[in-house]
Amino acid sequence: MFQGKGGKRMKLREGKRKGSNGHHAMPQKHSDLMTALEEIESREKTHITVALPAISEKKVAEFLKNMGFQWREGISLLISYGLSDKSEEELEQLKLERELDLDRLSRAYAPMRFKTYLYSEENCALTMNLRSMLSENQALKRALEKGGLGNCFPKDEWDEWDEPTVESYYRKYVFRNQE
Amino acid sequence: MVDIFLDHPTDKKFKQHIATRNIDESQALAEVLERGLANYWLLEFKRLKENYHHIKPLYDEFKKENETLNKLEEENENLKKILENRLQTKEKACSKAKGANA
Repeated sequence: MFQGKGGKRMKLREGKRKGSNGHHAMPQKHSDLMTALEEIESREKTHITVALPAISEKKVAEFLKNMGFQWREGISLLISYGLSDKSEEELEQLKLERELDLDRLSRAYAPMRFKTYLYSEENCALTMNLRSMLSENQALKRALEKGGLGNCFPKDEWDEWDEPTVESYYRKYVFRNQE
Repeated sequence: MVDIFLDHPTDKKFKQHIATRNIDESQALAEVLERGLANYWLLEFKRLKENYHHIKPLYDEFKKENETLNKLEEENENLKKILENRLQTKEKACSKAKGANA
């Protein structure tokens, strides 16, 4: 049933291969993007060739096909799930949580993720204009104060914003670094 | 024969699994895949939950800051309108005064 013990194992270390002059070798030309992506993904990974019982292979192949997974991507995910440290009790607990929460979470997650992306993009555009918006705001308020309308407006939170505050917006939305 | 590519932590766990269960790689892979298939939806749910809890605070923060930045932009437009109205009123008053003087 099983074709021999073990199988073939080899480490792929193409990412570390260097040219003879010590510089990185020129990347090999790829005929298509998928091959290139697969090669990049398999760098630093252990490649194993194993015999799998036909029934298991069929079951896995059918599952991956139905789920729209590429073989390489899907089988790695199934293996990592199969090797999960979760005990039977934890899985049972997860099953209960799933029954209770799946609808709510799956309905909320995708729109929330998309809106987060949209806010991040819009905030990036607004932040790039932030310094000029703040100085315009101060100038307008000064002009209205001179005209005797200074007391008509409540204090705004941006009245207190200093350069580090503006910089933190830049780091977060323009440079995408929240540190 | 199937080709699989494992990252280092998963490969390490797989080797441990083989050693603990004292079985060959083929049998181990069949077992692991069987467990992976059985628990796929539960572990996908776990991942969804983790992603949700990771994104939720970001969503709240980005939304709040978006409202503030938009409020600032809106306020500038309103203040400009008020200032323009004030200027127009003043100009009208000036021309009226000039007309009366003439």
